[in-house]
Amino acid sequence: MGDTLVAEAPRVLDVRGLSIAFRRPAGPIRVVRDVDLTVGHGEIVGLVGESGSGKSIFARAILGTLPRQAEVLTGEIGFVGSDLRHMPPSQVRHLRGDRMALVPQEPMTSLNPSLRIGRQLTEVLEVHRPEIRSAARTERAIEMLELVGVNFPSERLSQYPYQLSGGLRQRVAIAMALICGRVELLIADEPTTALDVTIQAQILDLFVRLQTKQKMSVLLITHDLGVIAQTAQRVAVMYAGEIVEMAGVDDLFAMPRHPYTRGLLDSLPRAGGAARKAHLPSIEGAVPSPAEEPRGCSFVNRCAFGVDLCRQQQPQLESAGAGRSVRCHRWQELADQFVRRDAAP
Amino acid sequence: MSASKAPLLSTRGLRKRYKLRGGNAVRQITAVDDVSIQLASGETLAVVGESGCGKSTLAKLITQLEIPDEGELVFDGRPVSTRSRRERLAFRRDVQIVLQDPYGSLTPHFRVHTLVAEPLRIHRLATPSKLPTRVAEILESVGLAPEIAGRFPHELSGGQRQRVSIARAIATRPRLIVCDEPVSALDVSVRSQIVNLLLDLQRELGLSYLFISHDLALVDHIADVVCVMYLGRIVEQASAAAFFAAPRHPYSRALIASSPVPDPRRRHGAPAVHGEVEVGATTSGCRFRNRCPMALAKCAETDPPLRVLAADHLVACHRADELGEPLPFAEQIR
Ligand SMILES: Nc1ncnc2c1ncn2[C@@H]1O[C@H](COP(=O)(O)OP(=O)(O)OP(=O)(O)O)[C@@H](O)[C@H]1O
Ligand code: SF4
Ligand code: SF4
Ligand SMILES: [Mg+2]
Repeated sequence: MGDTLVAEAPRVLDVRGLSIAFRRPAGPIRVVRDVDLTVGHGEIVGLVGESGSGKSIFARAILGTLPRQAEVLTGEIGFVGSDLRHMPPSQVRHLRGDRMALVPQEPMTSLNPSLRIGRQLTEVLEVHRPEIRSAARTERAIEMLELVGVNFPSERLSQYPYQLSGGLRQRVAIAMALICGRVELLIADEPTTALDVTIQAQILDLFVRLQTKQKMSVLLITHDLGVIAQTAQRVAVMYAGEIVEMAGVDDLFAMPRHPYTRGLLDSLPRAGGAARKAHLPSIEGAVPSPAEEPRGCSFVNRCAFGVDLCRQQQPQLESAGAGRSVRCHRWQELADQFVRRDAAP
Repeated sequence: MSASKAPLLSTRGLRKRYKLRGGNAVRQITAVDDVSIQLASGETLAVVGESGCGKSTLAKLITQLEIPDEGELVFDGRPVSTRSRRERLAFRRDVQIVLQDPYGSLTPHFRVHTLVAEPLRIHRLATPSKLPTRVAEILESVGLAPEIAGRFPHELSGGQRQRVSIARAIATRPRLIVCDEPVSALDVSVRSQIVNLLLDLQRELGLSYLFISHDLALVDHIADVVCVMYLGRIVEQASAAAFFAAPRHPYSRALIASSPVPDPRRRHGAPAVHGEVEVGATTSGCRFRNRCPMALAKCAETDPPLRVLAADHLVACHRADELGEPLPFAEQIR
């Protein structure tokens, strides 16, 4: 799919200026700050960031499942043309499981431990597709299990979640997310983090097939850059509640523009040889706590390129060439230095 | 594996069975099956394989948290089973463990000072008057500021907590540390800090590591020897250089081909291996055969023994010699 095509296609998800805070006695703490993010039709967008960077809270805002203590402060959440933020909760609830769905990290959070697999799947149909007759529901449940690669699908209907392996449970959770057949946006929040690499490769392959064959849009949330590189078309990098960089996947990995993205890519171990047991490049320090919202750049206390300006003034997300944007005062000066260290043959 | 150095740790034919209850039937599974490894002083032996392959059970056998049903564990030239009480205590000082989840392994209501002082007290390695200095020294050697000593685990970041577990492990001046997925629960940007710390400590203190990990790029970076386990067995064992240059077991190749390479120019096509680890799925022949793309009739008949393919390279596969030259892992991942 060419870039221009993606740009003209209707946005399945179009989030603008979204800020989310937790209410605390000492005042609200913003954990998602001024986030813009779009997902085009039939596109896999990766959202990568560390623990606590706000990825899950962002996802829950879209799905309308924010925890009670959290509230959206500003912004719009456009979903296929309508603004979810100003939609009555009952309507959002109906969209969920029908036109958008979640695949969680731990499938048991979406599966009911005391219900047989078949019952759980057909129940979703009863709610969202009451016009489908009961016999056809079971048939559809089997079809879905087959589609997501569950072996012995008809036998599985009578099993309970605890009788399945982690990988199979995740497949069932995906089948459940998709069974009503009208899902336009699948939000997968660390869907393979708890799985072995072999099973992870199978599940990621499934996402790619859903995207290419069924034109499903996927927001894939992960902390694993390898997972992003293998599946996404575009990537948003989140740090301390902000998007710090957004780019097509090839550009991001070949020419990271933000010092944090660059630091992350550099810190990955590259296979052995002469460098075996040598120090890995690393980003010193740790992610700031959301309570200490910085005045300037949120990365400044760990950035090797920070200057006075970075401490005083918050950088804005600005365009950095076709289809990419970056939140750094110095990205232009640094651009020449930031080429992948193994890019040269 | 290096013949030049006498091994610090070696095991011969280690075996551990567990009873598995499924409904009203009781099955027996062999979680660790005939495992023989050697680990030289100052080296790192990595154990890789999917969950359920017996990696953590092996770790428990080596740290004596579990007693093997069969086989022998030799540490520093002496079988562990024949040691006197005093020697067993010394073993517990010499062999430490660091786990994946630093939160679960640190008692929550103890301050960092108490947590690090505990092993020193148990093994009487510092008099009460020397304790604070010693704790401060240890904290410094794992890169923690002295004021951290007064904090509780929940007041620390994930990386700091893992540094505290490492501090506890090195407090007894051990010779071997078993690391069970020590960085996989950490933030990506903190992971390399901890890897560097482990590398520094190895160099400074001459430590040996038994390193359990599912991250093959990391294993390639830090290991001297690699063991691949499948359903309790070692299916391939080689020096890291030989293993990553040319893995010889179909399962090893599947693991490598499944690793998510952080480079969009090198996307995997179809998954390298289907299905998953199933205890008891194969009762005869090669236990990988129900997932192996190269399985033949003879694979169902005879269980391939672990055999020597080249110096420093053991493989348990009937067809190991027929596999074509693979792309070295380094080239796949770069
Ligand atoms: N129920 C809650 N009450 C208070 N604070 C919360 C709650 N849930 C999350 N937070 C805080 O909101 C911030 C963002 O959390 P979020 O779960 O979105 O991060 P994440 O990027 O999904 O992290 P992970 O990679 O660990 O899943 C964090 O600082 C977290 O501590
Ligand atoms: S704005 Fe300054 S501190 Fe922030 S990432 Fe850019 S150079 Fe570093
Ligand atoms: S022995 Fe046969 S089934 Fe087993 S790994 Fe080798 S080729 Fe595959
Ligand atoms: Mg999360």
